[in-house]
Amino acid sequence: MEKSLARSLEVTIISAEDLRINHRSIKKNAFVTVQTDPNNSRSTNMDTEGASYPSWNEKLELALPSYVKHIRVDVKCKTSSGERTIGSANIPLTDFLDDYIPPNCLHFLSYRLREHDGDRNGIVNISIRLNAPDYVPRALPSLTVQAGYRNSNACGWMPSSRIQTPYNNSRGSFAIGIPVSKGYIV
Amino acid sequence: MGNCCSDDKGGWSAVGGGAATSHNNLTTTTNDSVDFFLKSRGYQALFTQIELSFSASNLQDRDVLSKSDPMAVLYAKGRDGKLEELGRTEVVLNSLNPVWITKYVISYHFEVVQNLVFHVYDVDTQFHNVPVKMLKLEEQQFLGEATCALSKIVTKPTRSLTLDLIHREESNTSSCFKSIGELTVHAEECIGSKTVTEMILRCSDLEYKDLFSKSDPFLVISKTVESGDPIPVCKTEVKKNDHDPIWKPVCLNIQQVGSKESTLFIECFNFNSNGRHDLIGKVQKSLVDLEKLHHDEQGESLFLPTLVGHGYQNKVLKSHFFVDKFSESVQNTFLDYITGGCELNFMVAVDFTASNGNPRLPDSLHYIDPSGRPNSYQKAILEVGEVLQFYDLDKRFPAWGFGARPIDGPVSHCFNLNGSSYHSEVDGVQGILTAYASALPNVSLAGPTLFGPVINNASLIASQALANNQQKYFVLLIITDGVITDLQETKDALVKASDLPLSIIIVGVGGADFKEMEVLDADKGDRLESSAGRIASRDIVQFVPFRDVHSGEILIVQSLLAELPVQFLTYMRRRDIRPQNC
Repeated sequence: MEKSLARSLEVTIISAEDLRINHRSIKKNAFVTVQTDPNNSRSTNMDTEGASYPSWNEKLELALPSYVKHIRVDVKCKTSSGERTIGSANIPLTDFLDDYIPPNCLHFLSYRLREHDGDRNGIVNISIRLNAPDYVPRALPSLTVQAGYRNSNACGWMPSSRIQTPYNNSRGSFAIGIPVSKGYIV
Repeated sequence: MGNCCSDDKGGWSAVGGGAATSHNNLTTTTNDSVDFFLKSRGYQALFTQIELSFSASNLQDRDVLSKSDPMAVLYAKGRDGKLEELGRTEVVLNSLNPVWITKYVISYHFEVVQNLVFHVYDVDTQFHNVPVKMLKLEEQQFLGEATCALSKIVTKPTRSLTLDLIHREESNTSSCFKSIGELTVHAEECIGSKTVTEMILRCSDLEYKDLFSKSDPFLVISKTVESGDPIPVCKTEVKKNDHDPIWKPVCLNIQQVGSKESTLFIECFNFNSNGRHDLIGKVQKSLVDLEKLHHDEQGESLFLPTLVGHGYQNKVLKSHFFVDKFSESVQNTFLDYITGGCELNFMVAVDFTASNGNPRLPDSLHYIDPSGRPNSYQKAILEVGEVLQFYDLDKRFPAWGFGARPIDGPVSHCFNLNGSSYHSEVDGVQGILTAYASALPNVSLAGPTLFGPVINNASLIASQALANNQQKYFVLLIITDGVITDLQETKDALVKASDLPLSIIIVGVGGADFKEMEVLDADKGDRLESSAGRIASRDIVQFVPFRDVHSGEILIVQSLLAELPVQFLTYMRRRDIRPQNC
């Protein structure tokens, strides 16, 4: 399903919240770099008005090579001593490819930013849409039949373990696409 | 003289003036700070002002020599059944098909069932010189009454509802049920509050006011009021040394200026740092005129009131005023979507975990009292369902239970409450109650308490509507004792659901510690974060402890659903979904 060659992403960097450098809120000049792989990266302009709550609303188009499993978002800041990375987020493609919403629909996503050493920083808000003309969305998992506590056509109250969906099974089929922590590199 | 009859031209205003004020008694709490906060973020308040107008047809004729002289009285029916008068219309003389002029403005609260009662009286001729407010209703002849919920009127596509009038005494005796007329109530959202105009204003050939340099012009827009000086509503920035200034776009809310037709003073001043700005010139235009100026791409000459002899004369200047852009946008309200055909769909999930206590013992939250007194779960289903089913067109709710073990099966975290293995839907609130009562003796309460499977199921239903491009919004109601086993599991499910047309209302019953529930309701703390670092893109959870509601005066539904319209609008606006038929 991910064979198409001309896949690209339309990433809109909306805003960020509570950006800090050394525990102090930044004043201005925050910008965001998005990359799918080292050869494909795009940056927004610098925000000059929003201080530590900058907003950009900038749409960036990036090619999405088929081997890519994550896209990386770096929130940076231009200071007197040069560019500094405030925090980063690694977004697993599954967050919008295997989501409830079809990949070619707009996904509004927010991520916690992590500093180099893993400390929590602010939040980045983005929206993502997949552009892939020949992408065939995987059929949505059909609604798992939840077993009743009785057989529907039984006239009495005969319990039937046959139709009972065990907890483990049901969870497995529900949990499709929930971000997994393995593969999330801080 | 205080004549109360509308036939006397203008007389109604003396009557209607008092009645047309809004009345907040249907609401027990209107949190000003919350409203202010929301407005500052561009949302409408949590309630909408609705203007009700009334008409009747085929009224009974009670007067001997002439036709009836009807007047309508509007009441709010409290939860205890008590009637509270909200307002009266004027008296229409000699009419069996009156159309009253007096309107009544009422705050429409999504989350409260606002029951309205209408009484129609024939006002005897001898009282026609008495102001309607002073009329003693028991001295008037009763023509009939009608009852309905406000939501019933506003959810009609036409926003008009015609009700059969009944007579109280007659309605008790089933035998004589003859028609004694109909009352039509029409609801109109108070317009203006949601229309915003954006204009780009420009002037050309402004005159010199400064000695050594060009003028520094800015605009002040003021509205006229009946009494006193114009009130400024808007001001542009100052353009330095510019005789052909184009100012930044100006936004005017129609509510700010009164109406589109009301005259505005647009004054162009030369900025002086001492605060004594000189008037360069002015124009006097309504928004309608401004729109026309823009449409015709014409300039309007500025004029300057100049002292001539004893009076002022308007000296027309060579400077011109232009409207480069005029656009109107409507901030759609919750109501626009609902009347536009957006469906609200409700789902219910009931907590069957062991922490609720053995249902056979009276101290259990699931104890079914033989006397018929509803337990906490039944109460919650009843009270919340009462409101919800007004907005769910088909009134079929998917209903689930979680955290219980069917007699010899393993624990299920999402089973159909009605016992069917194929479909989860039940009919109406009564259907939920029936399914609940039949499920209870057939499962054994177990654990752990996991919300994830229920939330994921609701998410699937919501996503299918989204994928099919249907304008639908879903609300999952989880009734629980609040003791949750895996908070992170719930958070993960919520974060993933936060981008869907879905809101989740959690009702906490019993006396447990609801701290974890408070955490889920993002407006009381940080935004929800999944174990993988993804964050909920918006708040979709509303938590309400049922006991707070019971001890106090607050209606459960009021606190429960207060956040829903905002969550709904956040979703719709972010995705730029407009109401249908709009």
